[in-house]
Amino acid sequence: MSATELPLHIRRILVALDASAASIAALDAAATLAACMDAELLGLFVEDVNLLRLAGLPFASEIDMVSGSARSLAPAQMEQRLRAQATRAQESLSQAAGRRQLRWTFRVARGQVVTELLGAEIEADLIALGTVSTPGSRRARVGSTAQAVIERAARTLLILPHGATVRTPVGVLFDESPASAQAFVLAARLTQAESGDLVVFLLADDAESEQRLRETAVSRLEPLQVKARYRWFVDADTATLARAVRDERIGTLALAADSDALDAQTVHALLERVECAVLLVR
Amino acid sequence: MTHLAPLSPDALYRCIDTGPWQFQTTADLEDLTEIVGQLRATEAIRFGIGIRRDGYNLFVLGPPSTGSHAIVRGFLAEQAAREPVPADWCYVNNFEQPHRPRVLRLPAGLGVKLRDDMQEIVEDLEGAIPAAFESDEYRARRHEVEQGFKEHREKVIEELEREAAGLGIALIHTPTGMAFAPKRNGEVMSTEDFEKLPAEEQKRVEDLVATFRQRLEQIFSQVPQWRRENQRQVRELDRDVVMAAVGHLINSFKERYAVYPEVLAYLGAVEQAVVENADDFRRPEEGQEMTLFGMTISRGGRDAAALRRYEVNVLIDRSATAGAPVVYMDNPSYPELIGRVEHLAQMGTLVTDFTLIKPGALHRANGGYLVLDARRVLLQPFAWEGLKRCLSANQVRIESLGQMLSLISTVSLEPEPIPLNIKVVLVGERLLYYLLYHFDPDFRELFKVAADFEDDMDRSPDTQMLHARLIATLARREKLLAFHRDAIARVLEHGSRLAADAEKFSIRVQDITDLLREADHWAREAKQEVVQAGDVRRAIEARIERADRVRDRLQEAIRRGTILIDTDGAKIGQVNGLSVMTLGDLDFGHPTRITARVRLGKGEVVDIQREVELGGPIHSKGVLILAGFLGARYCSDRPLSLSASLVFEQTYGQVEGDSASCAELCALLSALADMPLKQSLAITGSVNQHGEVQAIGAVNEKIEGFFDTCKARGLNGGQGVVIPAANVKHLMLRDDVVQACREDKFRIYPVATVEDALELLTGAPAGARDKNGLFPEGSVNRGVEQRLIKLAEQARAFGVPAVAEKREP
Repeated sequence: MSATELPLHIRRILVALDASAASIAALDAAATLAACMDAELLGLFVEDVNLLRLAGLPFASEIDMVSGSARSLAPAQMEQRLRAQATRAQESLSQAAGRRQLRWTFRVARGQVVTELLGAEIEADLIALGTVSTPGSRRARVGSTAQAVIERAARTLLILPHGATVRTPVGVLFDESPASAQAFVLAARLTQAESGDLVVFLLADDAESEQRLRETAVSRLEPLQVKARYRWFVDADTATLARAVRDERIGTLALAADSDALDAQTVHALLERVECAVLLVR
Repeated sequence: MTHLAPLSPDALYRCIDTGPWQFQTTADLEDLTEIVGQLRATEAIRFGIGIRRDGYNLFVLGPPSTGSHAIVRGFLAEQAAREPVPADWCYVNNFEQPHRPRVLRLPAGLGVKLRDDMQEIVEDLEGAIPAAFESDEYRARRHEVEQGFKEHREKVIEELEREAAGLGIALIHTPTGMAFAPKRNGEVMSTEDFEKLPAEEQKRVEDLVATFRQRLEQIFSQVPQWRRENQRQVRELDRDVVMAAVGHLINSFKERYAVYPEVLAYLGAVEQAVVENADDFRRPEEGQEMTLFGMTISRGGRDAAALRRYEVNVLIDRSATAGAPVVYMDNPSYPELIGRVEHLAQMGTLVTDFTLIKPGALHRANGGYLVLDARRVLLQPFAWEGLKRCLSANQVRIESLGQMLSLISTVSLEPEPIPLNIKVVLVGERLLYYLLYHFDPDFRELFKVAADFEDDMDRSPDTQMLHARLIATLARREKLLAFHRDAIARVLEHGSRLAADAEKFSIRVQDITDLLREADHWAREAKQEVVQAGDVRRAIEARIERADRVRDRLQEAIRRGTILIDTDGAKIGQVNGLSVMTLGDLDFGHPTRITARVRLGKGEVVDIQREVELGGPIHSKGVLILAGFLGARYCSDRPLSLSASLVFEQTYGQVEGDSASCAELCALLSALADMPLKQSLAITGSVNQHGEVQAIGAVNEKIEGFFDTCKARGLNGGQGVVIPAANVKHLMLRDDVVQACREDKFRIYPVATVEDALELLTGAPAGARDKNGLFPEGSVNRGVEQRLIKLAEQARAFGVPAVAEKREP
């Protein structure tokens, strides 16, 4: 089985836009990825219904982030603000796509952010989202919106922590599960497109299976002419993996969401700890 | 009349006796190392240099041609070589008040070392500081500090959020801030749902939201304070990091300068400044150069100007100096003397800093000697005041003239003053010394020692020998041909002529050197190997010839009868006086006709020159003395009832001096006695109220003037000049005059009284009162007295009020 035969095709990338710096970074990364994969960008701006409801309450007021003082809110004002954000988001998308000559569409939806995002995933093969999309109060690196999407999405995710971009070397967690094979293919193609290095983290219980895994990887990479380094892990705990990612200075980490070797908790913990872009392949 | 014999030719020119001289030419003579004839001045200079007290600066008086400059510098060089090398002076940045640079005093040679060390420190820091900031340890610690602030803020807000969530209130992030809203099923309650709630419930929710909002507001109000605290921690961290990098580096240099507290204090200040301005040493991020109109503007990191603050401006470096400095200042302008602060044009403005402080002559000479030309100092605007201020304050404070006079207003510095330990030697003319002494009260406080250089010295066999050696020294120094002993004798004789005294030499080295050079020129022209007496003579004559156009014209005018001068025959009330003119460096004499007319009058002698304001005060004094003499000699018991007028014929300029008063008296007495005066004689000399003839100046030139007039008309053997006997010692006459006298074609008569002069001029005896108080018949005095008596009687007859009567009560 060669890499090109694998049924992983990314033709449309959905980007959740809210005009924040994190979402712009996600847009940029998505555009890079789209250029590699020759995919189309789908921009989605969700007018958060919670905000509109908040503005509709008789006692609605917000604390301004800049001045720190209270200010009353009105529904019309909130609508206007959201429209302005949507316009800005569309401009960003058009610029990012224009730079790389990508096809793009932009859509505005109204509703709960997570629901709308997950509702739109049907149109796309990959969802790109920046974590900590609102400035300020999130102690956890992965925000509640991103958390919900990660947990509930059926598509491959591109998760961008603050300050990260899609770049090489690409790291991939590779075990014997079919899901990880998908992640491996995606990582290999990204590496090839970006002409960088690939680091394969082999998850195997014994030397024999490690050997087998490695041979599989080598044979798959051969036609793509991708150079790779290999590291073997017997027990994949979060801390060890995170350290390895940091040591190898990994730019983009690909891992399978439904891998045999990693449970959902480990994946989540890993997302909290690594600073690079993560492709969560489904 | 034997006492009125003419002078012997030997008295007219005092030759140098070359007999005792053992040498042939100057080549046989040793160089002269001592200074000739300036004992008073050299003693004063020695004293002035030796005494180490405030205000004991020197003023060297004397004409520049005496060589005073060279002598002073010689003395100073000798003294300075024995003195220790003074300190180096450096200006360094004052980190607290940059406009007042600090001064450092360091032992000779250490200034440059400190400068190099500082350069090394800066270079090291340029490496060490960025390295410290780029280290992983620093980054980790900085991250920790910054994270601490963020986490604290987030934790507080999260706690609030959790508390609110427990009460069914959600914290919502809006695009521009945060808000609280009631929640139902994980979503914000819509307006309709809210309105369906019972009124109390609505009220409760509203109050809760308001409470949480207030608490959030409170949290936000504390954020700036937390941020400040965080920034303070970051700064402290930076300081610690820089301190670690800088401390040991500077400490290693501090050890080298452990014995110089000032340097240690400076290094301490540097350390402090580096810690506070560590950004100056950090590399600017690439590609972030800012430009304006195409020019690069440095910003923040590694600014050349910022690092210049750590430079050392070595104002005075004495690493290559031996002994104390002796500085001669050719152009003592204010900034050259006091020092200056230069400016650089930067983006259209003038900027400066301590590295642009430049030393003046006072800095360079500090610890030693400064020689200045007094006239030049006085001619330079404010230089004299500046010099005095520094000397009286004992410190040099650099202050620009523009600043002092508020002419320019640009950024400038007030450098810390430098203590002054200096001896200033002013060299100048006597007149300047006396003027300054009289009119400038500071002058006598600051220049307490005067070294007065002589113009001439006594002539004796010993001094002649010294002088011969001086000539030999000068000839060698000027690379001239050797001078023959006769030529030396001629030069020495000319020295006496320059001194206008046969018993003295001029010691104006400059004049002697000029004569030697010119004689050398003529000798070379004649292809001789040794300068002969003839060359010296030719040099003197050629020099006169070059300058005597006016004299020639004057003699020509006399010869052609344009100026009326008689040189034979006899006239009543008319005599040949002698005047001297000075044009450039040539003095020359010429005869002037003086006439007197008398008539009945009020006892006054009218000086026509004075009446038309062409006579100077000394001339008027001479004429008034005549009236005194007349009254006392002839009219002690009756009024002086004449009115006499005296005039210098054909003079059209100022007449000054009393050297013609004897001639005027003779003319007046001749007019009174009605006795003619010989026109073949000219007379010079001043006279007092007793009729004694007194010495006058320029006797040689006056005699030569009349001689030239007579010679042009042909000498008849009866011509000559009557001079005061006191002037005989001054005679150093020209060769042709002496020769004419030797051949008895011309005579010089010395006289001591006006009677002697009268006898020579009239050929009649002057006459002395006999026992009856009467002058002998036929004498000049008799004639004068008779005429005055007659005038007095006429006056009485006419009732003319006489001045003399009024005076007698």
